[in-house]
Amino acid sequence: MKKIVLIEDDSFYVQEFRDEIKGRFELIHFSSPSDFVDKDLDLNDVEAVFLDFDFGHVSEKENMLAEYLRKEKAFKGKVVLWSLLEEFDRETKLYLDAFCDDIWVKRDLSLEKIKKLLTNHGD
Amino acid sequence: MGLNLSTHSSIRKGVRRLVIKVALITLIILSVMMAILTFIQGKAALNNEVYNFLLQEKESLTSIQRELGYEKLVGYNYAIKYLKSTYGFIEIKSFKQKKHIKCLHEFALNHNQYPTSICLESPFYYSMIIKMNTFKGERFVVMRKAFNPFGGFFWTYFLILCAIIIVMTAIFIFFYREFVSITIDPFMKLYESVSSSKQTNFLSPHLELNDIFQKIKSMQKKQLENQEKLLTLEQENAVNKAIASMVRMIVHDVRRPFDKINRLLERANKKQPSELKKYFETVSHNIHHDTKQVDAMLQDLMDIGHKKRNLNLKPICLKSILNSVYQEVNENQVKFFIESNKTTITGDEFKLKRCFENILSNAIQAPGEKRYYVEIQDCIHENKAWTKVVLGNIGGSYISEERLPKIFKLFYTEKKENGRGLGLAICKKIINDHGGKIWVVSNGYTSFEEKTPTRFKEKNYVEFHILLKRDP
Repeated sequence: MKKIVLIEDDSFYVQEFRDEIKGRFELIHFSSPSDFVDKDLDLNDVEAVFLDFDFGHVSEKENMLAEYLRKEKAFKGKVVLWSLLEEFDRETKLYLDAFCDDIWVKRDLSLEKIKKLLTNHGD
Repeated sequence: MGLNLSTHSSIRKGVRRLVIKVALITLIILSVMMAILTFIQGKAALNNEVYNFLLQEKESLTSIQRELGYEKLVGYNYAIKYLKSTYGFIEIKSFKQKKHIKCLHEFALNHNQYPTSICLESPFYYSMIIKMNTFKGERFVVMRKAFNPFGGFFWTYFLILCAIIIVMTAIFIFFYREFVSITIDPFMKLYESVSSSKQTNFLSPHLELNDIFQKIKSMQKKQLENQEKLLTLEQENAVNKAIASMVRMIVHDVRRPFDKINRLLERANKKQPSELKKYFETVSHNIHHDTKQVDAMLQDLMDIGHKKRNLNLKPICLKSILNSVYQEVNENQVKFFIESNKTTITGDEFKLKRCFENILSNAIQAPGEKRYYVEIQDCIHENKAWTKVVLGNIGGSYISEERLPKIFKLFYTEKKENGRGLGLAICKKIINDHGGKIWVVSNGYTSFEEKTPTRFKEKNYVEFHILLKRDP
């Protein structure tokens, strides 16, 4: 079963995510970027990382996580930023374009969308 | 353009002439000063040495004078003539010291008598006094005082003066080049560009320079105006950025419960009634928490928006308010230290409670295992009676010295959860509205102007100190 990493602190969305992918993908959840970095998970068999992005509450560590995945962990899978908002300031947009594959709005979460994302990956 | 270039050239020449004139005048003044100095020194040497000697020899000179039968001391020419006629003395043609000694030596060999002599030199005067005893017991004094252009000191001074002139000239040349290349040339270039753009005929270099300076002045004024505009724009930009950030934050936080409610409704259509109840129980608490947060945030914004004091003042018991606030934390973890005769003050109960809640909430969100303590004590500050409240926690994290001054600033936050940067700013506003003061102390550093000793050396601690007037 393909593995998906979710970094999300809101239990509601964690449950939503879990419900969407139930039986189709394995979800590995971390409640914060620090938690994810500290655990130092082997990402070889991870297909995608979904990173929560909360506007106005972003710490430096969270901001740097996508970069960390690409540079430090040499992660080749998909990095998806998901947020309640879809508009970003210029600086954030540049950063996201550099290190993330896609930006999702939380309300658009669906199994079909996840499957489509992972089908495109490496196919 | 040709006219401008010729004008440029004439101004350059004028400036060059001016610099050379200044250099020459300075050199002449320096030379004259050196000559005067030398003369004074030579005169002083002559006066001090020759005439002091003469004064010392006054008695012997008088006796010589008497023996010779002259009313005055003999002059040089007469003495030489006398010496020659009597002893075949060779006239001293040169005043060079060596030759003089040689002459005297020859004289001594011829007459078996060595004269005592004194020869003094100064840069401008040469003085010689010869006193000698002959076989016959005759004594002669020969004095000579003459201009001495070849005195050793003269050459020394002359060489020093030459060296100074050479060095000064080199310095002038260097500074002239630097002055022209650094100071004049930019003006010339500026002038060329200005004049070429306007094609103005100038009457004289002075007028041209005045015009250039006027233009520079005008440019400086414009530059200052532009800088002011830029600063205003930067400030406006910073304010706009803060507002944009705040709006995004508000939209984000307000949208969250709505987004969840939408999802809840979508699920409700898909789930069975039995599943729905369980699902609703699971998520309702979460959504309720979000709506409470939105409500708190809106209240924060309302509070910040109020510029005037809007207090509902009445006597309140601080201890009971703090007790109710700290119910959120396990009571065993909170220690109360009360050193006050009267813990009742006049204040707005709702707002003060909100202030204490914000501080506690701030402490709870910080990482680490903490123990909480509350101190209430009486104190006198600026001849007024105050009640001091300290809300502290120990064993958790600390606030660094750099962060302390920012902690009460609006929108300053380092936390993700509930970190809107409003809570502590509101605390400060509430306390200020009460006429009180608030500051934070952590590991010996404080946001207040006063220094504070480190209270707990072994562990991290954060304390909020609040001064409340008894009757605001």
